[in-house]
Amino acid sequence: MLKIENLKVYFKTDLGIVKAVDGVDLEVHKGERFTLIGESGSGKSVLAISILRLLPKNAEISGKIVFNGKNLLELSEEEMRRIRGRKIAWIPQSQSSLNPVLTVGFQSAEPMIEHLGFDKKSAFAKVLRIFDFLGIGRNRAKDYPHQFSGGMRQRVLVAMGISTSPELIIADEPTKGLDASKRAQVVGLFRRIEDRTMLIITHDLNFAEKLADRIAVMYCGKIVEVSPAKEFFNEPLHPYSKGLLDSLPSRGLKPIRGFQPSMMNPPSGCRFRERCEFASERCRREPPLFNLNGRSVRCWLHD
Amino acid sequence: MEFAFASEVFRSRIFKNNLCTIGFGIILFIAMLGLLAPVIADDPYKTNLAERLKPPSLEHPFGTDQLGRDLFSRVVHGARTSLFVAMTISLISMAIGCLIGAVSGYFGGIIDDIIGRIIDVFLAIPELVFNIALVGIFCVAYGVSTWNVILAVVITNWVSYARITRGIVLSLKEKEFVLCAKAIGARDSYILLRHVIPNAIGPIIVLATLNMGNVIMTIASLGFLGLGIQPPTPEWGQILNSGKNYITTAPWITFFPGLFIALSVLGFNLLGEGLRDVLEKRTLEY
Amino acid sequence: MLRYIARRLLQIVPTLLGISIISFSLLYIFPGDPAEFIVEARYAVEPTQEMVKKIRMEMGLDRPMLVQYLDWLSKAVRGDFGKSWTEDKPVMDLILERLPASAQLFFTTFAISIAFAMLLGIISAIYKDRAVDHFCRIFSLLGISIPSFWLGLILIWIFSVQLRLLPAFGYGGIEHLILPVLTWSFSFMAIKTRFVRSCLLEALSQDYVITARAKGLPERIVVLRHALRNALIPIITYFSLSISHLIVGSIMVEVVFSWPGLGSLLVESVFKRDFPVVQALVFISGVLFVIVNLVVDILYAVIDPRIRYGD
Repeated sequence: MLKIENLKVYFKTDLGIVKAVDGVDLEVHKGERFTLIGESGSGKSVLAISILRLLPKNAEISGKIVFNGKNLLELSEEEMRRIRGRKIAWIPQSQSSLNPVLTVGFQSAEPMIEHLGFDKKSAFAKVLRIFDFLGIGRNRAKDYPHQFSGGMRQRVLVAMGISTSPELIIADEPTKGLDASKRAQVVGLFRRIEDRTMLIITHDLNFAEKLADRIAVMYCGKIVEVSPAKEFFNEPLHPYSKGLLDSLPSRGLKPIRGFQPSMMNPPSGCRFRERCEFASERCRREPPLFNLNGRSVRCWLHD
Repeated sequence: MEFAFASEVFRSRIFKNNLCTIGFGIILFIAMLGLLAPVIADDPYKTNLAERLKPPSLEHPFGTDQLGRDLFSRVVHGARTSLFVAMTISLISMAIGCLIGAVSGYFGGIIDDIIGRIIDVFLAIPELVFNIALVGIFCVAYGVSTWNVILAVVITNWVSYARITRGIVLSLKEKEFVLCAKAIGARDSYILLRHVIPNAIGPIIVLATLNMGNVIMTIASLGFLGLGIQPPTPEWGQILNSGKNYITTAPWITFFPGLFIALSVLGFNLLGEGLRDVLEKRTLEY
Repeated sequence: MLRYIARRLLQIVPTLLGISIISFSLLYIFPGDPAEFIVEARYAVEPTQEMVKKIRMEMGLDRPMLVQYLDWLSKAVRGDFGKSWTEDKPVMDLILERLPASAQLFFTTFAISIAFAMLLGIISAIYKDRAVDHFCRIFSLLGISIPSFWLGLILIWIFSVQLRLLPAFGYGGIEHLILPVLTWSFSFMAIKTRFVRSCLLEALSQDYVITARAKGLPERIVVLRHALRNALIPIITYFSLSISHLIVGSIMVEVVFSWPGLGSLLVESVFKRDFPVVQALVFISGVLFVIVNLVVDILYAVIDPRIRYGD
């Protein structure tokens, strides 16, 4: 359904070129919940937002993003606009993504009015049904975002995203800034809409474990591993994936040594080699993505 | 070392910034005219009734006024008057304003409450209204003199410096490095010199530059109303004032001094805006 | 909400007192006897001992300063600023006579300036760093740099002297209003244009704008409904604050066009040494500023849903 080929997103800044996404290939299949994990600054949010072509003006994008057979990067702005919110919905982070001066009901109704030709009244009626379904409560539709808790705002954003029954939903860090009990609720929330194709961006491994069908790990602008979720959590292939899992409190709270390198001049060869305990001479060359029965990994150990 | 590097970066940024360069160029041009006035222009006081209200010519590039005085020399000498008076006013108000603002912010408490109130009061009364009232009263009380203008404008003008300095000092007071310095027992004067002044200098330079433009405008306005620097001393606003009676027959008397007011105010505004861009760039672009 | 209003009301009391003290003391900051000035101003003769004494008694100038101040203040708050020194009329009558002209000039300028400031501000925000934006920036820099009295005289020269299209001065018809309004608007809208631009740019950089774009809304709706609606709160606040220019914001324009408003009254009174009028205008313009600020603060609280429902 969504196929990304050799995607590169570079930002030109005063200090140099930031290679936020540097040659990414991945594929999201219909009906699956595909989860992209990585630390903050790994480029995963940039990747997500580049699918909708909403990058800031100083970004340069190349490669292919094929959605239902069409390369999104070749569409006109008007064609792209008709895909946003209609075919591909975006569920942003909840902190400040809602407009403070419009009611949540109206904001949730907007995509339907714009894309499905609903009038205000019928769109609002549908919003009330969705609000009920997601446990927001229909009486809150006329309220303003600041009257909601973080978790509730997340629900409103989900309501906004699913209202047009899009083919693909991209959710950006749905659990960011929420405490543990709220995070559990978000898991429940996303289970309610699990029949849809989703691309979930998160750094929250527990959340990913509970929801994901397949997992991709991003490190320093590159995908280093793609595996089915179960296998990933049982036996991660890439040393970085291992490091991530080992740093979880439930698995020993062992942090990965060193720091994420600068995105302006990442190390040559494998980008993880300076922090990797298995690094050897051959890691100076960039490893390709190796395929191992349904999983892929960018590491010479699996050559 | 670090400071030298920073100033190097700033200097290159300041001159890369078009606004700064153009503004600085305009100011330099007018300042040079003023400085060189005795060399490049005739006596601005010499009247010649035979040459009254003559349009611009080779001999009189800006024409002559109602008393046959050469307008070019009056306008060029006017640059001296405006810049000198404006600078005097700015420096005095800066000194008073920064001192009051720093004291208010630094010591806080009741002193800050009182000074804060006084600043509010001065901000509430429209500047030009206050200036006109003060100049009018000073004239009656002390007789006509340039010092009336200077005093009146300083009385309204120190406030903006006090407000900005107070704000900076208040926000710095909460910063860790100042708290640290206090904790290790640094003296007030040391903290003021080492921390407060280096941090305040940028915004104050921006303010002072923009303020020069305002002050020049105020002086010219008072001059135009006939309340400013009095004839025969050449001053742009006052030349305009006499020119308005001859607008039908000798529009050049109005045109040239006004052009110079506009240019010099523009120069300071450009430089001020440019400096603000440069000095605040770090916080604006990420 | 009521507590907020009450607190703000309490806050302005010291400021109002300060303004009244300054206005009152304007008459006493110079050495000499105000009674002598009154005699000079009113009768234009060398004051004699007797006349001075009479005036002093009549005006209550022989009382202690504090008593005089309290007396002046208690009358001033009721709109009684005493009698003019030069005309046989109460100060307030002189001011009320001139108010309509000032109001007419102000509100016309205000309406026109806001319309253009919004338009140009929105255009330059949308086309940031493009030619239109640079043009608007130059336009507003000129607006704050060109003295209005000079611009006014140039417009008189063009439209009255050369083209003979519009009157250079006078008051009454629309044709008299055009040049003064044009002159004042040029500077009045300058900073407002920049303010609209930066508020809108600020709003456009917020996360909710990305949300709106991600919904596939047309850019027009993203800008007008999502960004501008947020930007409007500070913009309305800022615009309303300029209502405090109503009384004497236009001094220079009024003088150039001999417009019979309060600005002209102020300048005339200074020349006639009619200081009670000057005193009253300083007081009123200061108080107006404070009150407009207060009202705008309260309005701000009313229109912003975040404050309206105060958490």
